Amino acid sequence: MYDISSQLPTVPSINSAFGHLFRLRKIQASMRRHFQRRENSADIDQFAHGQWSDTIKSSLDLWRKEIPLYGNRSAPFGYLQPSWMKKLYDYSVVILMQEKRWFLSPDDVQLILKAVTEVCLSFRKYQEARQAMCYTWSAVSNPRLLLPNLC
Amino acid sequence: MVTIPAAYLEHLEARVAELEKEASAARPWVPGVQGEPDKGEPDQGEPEAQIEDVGEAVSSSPQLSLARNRGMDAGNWVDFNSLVTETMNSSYSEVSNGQDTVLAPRLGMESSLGFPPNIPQHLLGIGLYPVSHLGNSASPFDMGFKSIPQPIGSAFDDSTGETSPELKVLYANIYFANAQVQWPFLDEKKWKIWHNNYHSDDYASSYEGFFLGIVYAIGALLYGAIQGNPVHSACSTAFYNAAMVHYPQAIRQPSMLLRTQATLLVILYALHCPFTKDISDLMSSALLYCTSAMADIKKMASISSEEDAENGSDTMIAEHTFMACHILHEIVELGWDRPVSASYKSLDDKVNLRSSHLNQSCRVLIKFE
Repeated sequence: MYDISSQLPTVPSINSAFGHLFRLRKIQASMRRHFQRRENSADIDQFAHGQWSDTIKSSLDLWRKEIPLYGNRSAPFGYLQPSWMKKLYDYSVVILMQEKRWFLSPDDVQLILKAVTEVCLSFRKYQEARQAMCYTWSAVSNPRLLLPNLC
Repeated sequence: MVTIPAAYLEHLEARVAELEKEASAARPWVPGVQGEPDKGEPDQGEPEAQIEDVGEAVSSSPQLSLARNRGMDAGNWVDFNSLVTETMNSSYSEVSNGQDTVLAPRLGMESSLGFPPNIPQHLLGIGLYPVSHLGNSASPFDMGFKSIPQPIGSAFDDSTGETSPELKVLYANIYFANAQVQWPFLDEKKWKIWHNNYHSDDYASSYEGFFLGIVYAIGALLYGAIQGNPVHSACSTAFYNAAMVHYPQAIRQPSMLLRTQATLLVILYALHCPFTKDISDLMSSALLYCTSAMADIKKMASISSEEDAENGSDTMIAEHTFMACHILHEIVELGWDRPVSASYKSLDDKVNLRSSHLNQSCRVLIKFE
């Protein structure tokens, strides 16, 4: 599903980091649109199977694996940095788990716990470092989104 | 029953201890390193560098380093925060910082919107700012000024309608060093031409005035976040208000791409602004302009020659604009509750379709069927 083409640039650049972020947002868009279709559908059963979420999880894992290829450590701190990209991966995992929240397995709970913990620790670190690109409403609202998943 | 592996708990405890240690350290902690980007190294967790010296920490600050690379020469370092704090409540007076004597005008503008809360000193992190000396400046964006540009309470001089040119350059540098790197959709070359050719009369009622002002406004917001100084927030508000006077001209331009970029800039400002702005509606407008822009580009590509279609710079800007719009759209979707109307869903479908045609090399946009 996720074609790693030989056309991919081998030396990370700002543009390639931006492209990598774009790919994550496409995965997130797939999730969002799936959730919206489920909400609007009378047939809940077709959305209850784990196959779709397993596929998305695989895509996210692959995206995370490629962060060292595209994350730009020399960019000013923000979305293009590898550590920030990892945080975005954790956010995405938690969002994905929302789809299964009534059917969580013990492994899923561990996954959520790990993701939420990493996000909270990272957020505090970036906040104290006063990284300007982190001072956004979205950076504040995303941890707020994750807290209910901890409870 | 859920069990957590002991090894993971130990790892967690170590991470928390590391965080507490960093928070209580006297020196600011600067994540990241300056150097070559990763080249396929295996993921080893968080390989952040530990900076041993405050001076090195400041020099290595990605934000200030990039701003410096755009023309600010490293010189004597001055505690800018303390300098401004001393003068905030005083009248126009001379303040000697031991290196240069600067004039600090009294803050005259009362902001009815209030200021961000005071940040404790030990959390200010990087609060130093270099005092440059006049150098051989090849471009107005070389920060070759001798004294620290003081943020003024009123961003505009009432008598001339002008503001400190050094301040504008500072904010512009901060924008292009930080925001442009993360959101590379603005045509930087074109913007700098507008900036260099700026005369208040020419841009009094033109769309360029919007693009100039909004970049200063965002740069001021970012600088305020870096410095922890609310004065820059006040400047940002003034620049933003001035820019929005020209926003209607910007979104009435024939170029849908320009309209998209204008709206995305306002969204960026709203994201960073300490006070809530209406992001959801802005995002809907951006989607509308963006889908129209992509349709226009596709139409032009089908009637233009292959050579024209491969105009690298314009193509890259268009692609980045689309990608930025898509990314921001997902950010807004995640963070804000939005009603899903039929028209919005139609736009979302179009954006989703076009994004699926962009391959990893991001060169398919012009060629897709």
